[in-house]
Amino acid sequence: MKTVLNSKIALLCCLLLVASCGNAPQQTTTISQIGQIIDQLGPSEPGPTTTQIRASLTPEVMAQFGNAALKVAAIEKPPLSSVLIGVGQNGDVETFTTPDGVSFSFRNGMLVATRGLGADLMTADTGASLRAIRAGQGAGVVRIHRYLDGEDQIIVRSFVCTIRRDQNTMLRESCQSPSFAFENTYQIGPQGGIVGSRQWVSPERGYLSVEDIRN
Amino acid sequence: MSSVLSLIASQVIAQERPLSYSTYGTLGLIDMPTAQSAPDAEIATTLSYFAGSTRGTLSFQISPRLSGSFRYTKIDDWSRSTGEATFDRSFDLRYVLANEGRYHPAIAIGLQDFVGTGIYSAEYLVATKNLGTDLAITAGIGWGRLGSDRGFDNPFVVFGDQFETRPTSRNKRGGQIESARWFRGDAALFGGVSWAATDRLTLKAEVSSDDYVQERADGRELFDRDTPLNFGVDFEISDGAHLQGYYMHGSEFGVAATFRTNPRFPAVNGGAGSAPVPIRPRTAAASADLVTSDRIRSATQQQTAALLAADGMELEAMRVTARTATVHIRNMRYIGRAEAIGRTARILTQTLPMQISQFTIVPMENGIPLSAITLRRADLEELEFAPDGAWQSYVRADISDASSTLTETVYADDIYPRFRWSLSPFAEGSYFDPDGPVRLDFGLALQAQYDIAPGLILEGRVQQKLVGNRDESTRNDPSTLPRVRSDANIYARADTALRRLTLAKYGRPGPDLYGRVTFGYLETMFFGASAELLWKPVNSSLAFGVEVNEVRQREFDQGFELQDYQVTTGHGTLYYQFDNGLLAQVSAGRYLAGDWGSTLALDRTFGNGWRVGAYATFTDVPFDDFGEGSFDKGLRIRVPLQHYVGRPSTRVSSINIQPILRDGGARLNVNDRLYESLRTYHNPELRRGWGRFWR
Repeated sequence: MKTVLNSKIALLCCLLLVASCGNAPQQTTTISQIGQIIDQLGPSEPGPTTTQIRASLTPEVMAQFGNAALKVAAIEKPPLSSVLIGVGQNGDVETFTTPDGVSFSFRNGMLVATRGLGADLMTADTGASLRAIRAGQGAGVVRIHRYLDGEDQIIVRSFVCTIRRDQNTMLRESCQSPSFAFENTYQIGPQGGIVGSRQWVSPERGYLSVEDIRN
Repeated sequence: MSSVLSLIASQVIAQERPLSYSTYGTLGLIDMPTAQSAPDAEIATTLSYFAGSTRGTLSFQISPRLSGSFRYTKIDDWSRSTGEATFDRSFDLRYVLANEGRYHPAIAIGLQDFVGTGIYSAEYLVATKNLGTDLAITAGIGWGRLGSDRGFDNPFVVFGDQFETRPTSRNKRGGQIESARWFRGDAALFGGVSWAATDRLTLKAEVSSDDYVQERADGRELFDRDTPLNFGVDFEISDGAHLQGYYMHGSEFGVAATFRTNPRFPAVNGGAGSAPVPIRPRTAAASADLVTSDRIRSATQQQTAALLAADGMELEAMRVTARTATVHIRNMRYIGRAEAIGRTARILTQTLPMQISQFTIVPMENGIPLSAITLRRADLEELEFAPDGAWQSYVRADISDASSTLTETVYADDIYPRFRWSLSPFAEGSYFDPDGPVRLDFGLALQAQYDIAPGLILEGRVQQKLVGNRDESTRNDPSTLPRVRSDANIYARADTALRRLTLAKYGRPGPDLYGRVTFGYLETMFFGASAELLWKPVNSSLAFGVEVNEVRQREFDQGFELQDYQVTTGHGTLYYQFDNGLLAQVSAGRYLAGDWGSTLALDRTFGNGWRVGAYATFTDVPFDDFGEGSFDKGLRIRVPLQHYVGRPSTRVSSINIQPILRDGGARLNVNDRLYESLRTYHNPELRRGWGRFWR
């Protein structure tokens, strides 16, 4: 990451605090945060792949999740995979979370928000893209993303996209802005909905690959 | 497409190629300044050594064009009689008059050491032009120290004969702005080039106009200045950390290290704190008896408290009526206050019965309500994923005074009374003593707080020193004033110290009014009573506070005993928070030594918890009686831990740099002054940080 050295300095500064004890609440949060930094700095075990996760989701395991809607997801930067569990629905937006508290929200299968990744996609205006995907094609389609900058101000990034059908069940959305370019792909299921996709999150996080799990 | 991306990436890097700092810790060549500006808000710490001169400099890019520096210097062999080193503090300012254009260079004007004792006193006008992305050429004209080699008659003589000679400093104590010397006397030309050979390696060469007259004077002779040419190499060993090496004046090698950081660029934008609880939208209305049942009400309250606790907040009190709910929370995790409000709102959609259509969220500190944010449940449901949901939710929220929100409220079970304690290591430093510029103590601090009732808090802190050398200071600078601060080194000798033991009452005397009374061992050096009243409408940028203290000096051992000196001290303070984050404070009143005067403080505050500021106090104590430094002044920086760890935390490290601790213009250090506890829960700060509402 950008400030590994800074983190190390911060870590050294904070090591003093590790030895703290007491029942005042601020102390405990700091200790757990330091544990997280150590995790980040140390060599981390490679996590399971999406294939391994999918294989582990037997009907018995899915029943343990209360038969909630499930997805398997992988983020590009850093490369991590996880199962996603449906935790909420607000209108046509479904929210899924990983067991360790990162959430992804989809409107009709299109990613509209992430939380807990860092450099999160705060909102995405995907209305025009969705119409073009349903039509099977489109050009000059505008897509607007919002992010937080380092001072917690909302920054707006807008993209112009072209949508075309690649194979019968695959759609490609190529988007560009003066600073960034990305290409999302959507796998269309038999009912016409998006069942799998690879969608761009942010410059820092790259793409999210996500796939529905059906019982 | 990947080629497009990589092209874009390389352009970004080219624009962000870091600039190099000089031995003076300002953007520059080797000794000479340039007209460059650092990225807005960059903070750079530089330590350099060359021929007996050690300089430690803290530079801050105050605004895109204005930068300021504080420097602490040691020059060896300074005293001709004893050969002792001298220690000197200096302040610089640089303003970019014109940014670089396609054909014209950037032009800057600078004042070096403009309030110190004047050893480094110099002024300059300098121009820098980039040729391509790698090469920067600088040329300038300097006065004072920067006009000391190959000087010529001052061209400003056309404006008057007074520019012909530079008056000698009349100021032996330092600290006075000697504008009568600026741009006077001989001028000289300087210049140089810097070449960014790679992204991490920069080579520099300059022609210096500094003759090092004082360092090379008879009896000091710190080095031979064979040529005005200096050469340097700057290597960025990791992001923000630079090492430099120099070959200077044909005779000496020098080294420097610079560490850069920028409050605007945290480890992770927006932080990587866990996802919030999602909104639970209402379905068909449930039966009406849900709300009126006490049992269900209590279950709702417990459920809310549990979800808040999981998000690092505490439920202090709650009131539920047929259609509305008022929830009082303590936020112990989020410096982004809007995030605490937004998370609480989402939790309430999960726990509150469907008929409740309006939430009022009241952040609390020290048992008093700070502001009341009222949100319509329908708006929350509608805006959770709305593209412009942050701003729309701000517009639809009602932010108002919270003084009457506690009526008929039900306090959570385990909130009052409650005892909390912690035992943790501490480090404490004393700086700028010429006999030992840095002294440190380490030990254990036992801190305890007993919340007796809402707003009534008994609090204490005891420190036990384990190792350290702060007690080695034997300085006893004479002072014509009561020794209210200059005995700090004697207080530092206490191994076991009762730092604070206070009983405090906080309250809301009326709308827009906040009050505090604190009694006991208020701080290291004073015991007594302190009372404060603050007027701050929630949506006002302006606030006004009055504080009165009756205090008596504590015994040096920091036990329970007191000394004879007693004083009534207090201030009226006007606060103004600008929309861009600038915070101005003007205080007037009576200081600890009984002197009357005023303090001006300016801070640049960042929504993410950073803060960089400076203050100066002028009292009726004549500069001669004040002693070294002439008046009290200092710098302060607050560094939020979350900037580095990328997870939300309210923990902040404070760095206070007070170059000279004297008795004039000294203020009482009482804990939990009111304005700071509520500033970020009020506008304009709440609005500025509202982007985190849906984080």
